[in-house]
Amino acid sequence: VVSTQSTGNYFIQTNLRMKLLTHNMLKSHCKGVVNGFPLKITSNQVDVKEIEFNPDFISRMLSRLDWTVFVQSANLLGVGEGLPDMLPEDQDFDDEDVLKKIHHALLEVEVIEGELECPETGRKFPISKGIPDLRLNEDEK
Amino acid sequence: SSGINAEYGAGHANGIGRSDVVALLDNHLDPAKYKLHFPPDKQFSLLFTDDICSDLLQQIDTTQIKNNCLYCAFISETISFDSFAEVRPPGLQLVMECVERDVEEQLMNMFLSHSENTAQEDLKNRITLHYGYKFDYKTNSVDLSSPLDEPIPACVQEIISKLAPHITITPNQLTVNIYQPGQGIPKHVDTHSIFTSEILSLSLGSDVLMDFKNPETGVILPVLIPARSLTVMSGESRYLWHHGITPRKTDALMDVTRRELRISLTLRECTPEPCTCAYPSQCDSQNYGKPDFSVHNEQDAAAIEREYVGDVYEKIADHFSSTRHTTWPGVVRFINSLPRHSVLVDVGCGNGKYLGVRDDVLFIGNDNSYNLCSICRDRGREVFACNALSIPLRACTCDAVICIAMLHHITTPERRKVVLQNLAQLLRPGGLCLVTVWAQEQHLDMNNSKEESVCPCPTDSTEEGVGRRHFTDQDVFVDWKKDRSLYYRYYHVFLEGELDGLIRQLDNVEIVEVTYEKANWCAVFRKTC
Repeated sequence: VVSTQSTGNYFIQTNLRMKLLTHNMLKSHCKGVVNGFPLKITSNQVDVKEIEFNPDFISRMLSRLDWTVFVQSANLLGVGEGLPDMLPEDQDFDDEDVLKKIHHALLEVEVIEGELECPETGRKFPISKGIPDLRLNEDEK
Repeated sequence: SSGINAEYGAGHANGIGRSDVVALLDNHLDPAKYKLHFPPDKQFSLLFTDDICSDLLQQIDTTQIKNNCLYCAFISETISFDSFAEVRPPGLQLVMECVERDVEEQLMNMFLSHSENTAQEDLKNRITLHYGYKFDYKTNSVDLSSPLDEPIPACVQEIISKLAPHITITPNQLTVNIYQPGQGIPKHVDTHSIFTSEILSLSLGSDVLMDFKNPETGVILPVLIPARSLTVMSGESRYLWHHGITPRKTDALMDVTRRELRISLTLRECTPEPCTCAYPSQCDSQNYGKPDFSVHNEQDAAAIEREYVGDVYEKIADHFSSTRHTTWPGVVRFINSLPRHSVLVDVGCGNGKYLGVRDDVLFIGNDNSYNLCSICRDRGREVFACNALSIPLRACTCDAVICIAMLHHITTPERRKVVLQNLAQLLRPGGLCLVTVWAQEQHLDMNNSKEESVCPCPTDSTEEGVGRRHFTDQDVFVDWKKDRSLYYRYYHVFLEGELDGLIRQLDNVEIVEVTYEKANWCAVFRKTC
């Protein structure tokens, strides 16, 4: 489902769902987990919302991302085409075509329904109506 | 034929009293054969009679009272006059004409002369005298270990013994209130713990309208207290309903009456026994129905946070969100100071009112309440649900973190420190965090001026329309009313220095600024490495 949202601003969003940018920051906090990153995405419903492209923002974000995880997740959701396997060392990366592809995968693709799975324990956290519920139960704390 | 007649132009709102209309009707109708009701604040009155005749109608239609032209109309609905009978709160009893007029005058003169010889407290509204025990307006109670030299006067004791059939208590405390026309007393419940099951009040000198308000339903009932009557409050009217007298010079119920000088004798029985009534929400012996704060271990702490924070917010989410729409300048200032394209995480974002304050910053919110997250999502915000004691985000990924009015819901200093550690962990080196919490001292930025007592710019600690609070303890339960339900939310209110003291226990941050703004302590800290 593709819907267009024409905006004058970068981050005005409606019916926002979980973006890959957020996924890149989330990690598992199950008890005893050593490395809970990344959470594995299984998704049966994805949407696309057009967001105005801002090359400066995307460039700045590159250094924060775990690039490998981002590319893996993008491929999982079918939007990884054209993303380089590795980021170039050059800090002033400005190939606009590639930046646009990164922008699309990072901000415009949204997971509506699905699950996030802890890589070590297998514990599944639901995403419903776009809200990942990462609360632990009493006995998991 | 029977009829109910509305007489237009002849209502209290026209400044017309019962006696004016009665004077008109008595020429045509036997007073025993009609009833007259004045609905409050209307421009008409209702006449109930079986005896309508055309002469009367014609007479009314050509009459003016106080420059109001009158006319009549029949009402086709069936209403009963009895439906307008005065409704009273349960347990309220009035005994009329308890003293003769001469005795009334003697009593009033006696107390007036006592008042001239007695020093007065600075009570703005009225003169008070005490016998038996002194009533202390600061504690709203009585010190049983210090009886007064003056007992209840013998002449008053005599009246009380004559009224024995109507009374069950043995009063040992008398408070006399002298009301000039225009004076009143704010609504209150008589303290449960010190006074027993009945409160007696003998009213001298003037009729007055007393208002009774049910604090749970909000219903207000005006009750006419005639001169020389004894009011006996028991049951609900003593333990639940608040009663008070509006400061004004006239009362309008069935008729418009001017107030005269009035002296009330409130007779109560004092007891050291705690109160065990069925109305804990008003009862000081039962801590006003509030839970006790006792935390002995992590399970207790988590249980209070679940029952008196987490669960409550899930239930009140929509209602809560509707009272939280004003952004607070201090927080907006912090957000606006951040560089463009910053990533900001709002921990405990509530209804997301700060998410999206700037278009060139990426906001991600989280909250422990799924229902509040839903409200954020409906507004198009990026949000996930989690508990601040364990935040599932990678370390060092944020340029900034805000934690507004959330830390004060955590029940122990150790757990509050864990939350602060979690906030610090999210920040990249050099990143900034703003934390705000309710202050125990609620008035540090006010000059004691009355105008400022209702905060003009509502913050989370002054719910819109409610003034600032008064906290005697640091661990408190604060009410939230939604429809007819009452919920308690747990708060730990902070002393000066307490928040920054906690932050200094972290080893990877430095404090940038600590301020007090509108009853909140606010701290900004920076991640050093």
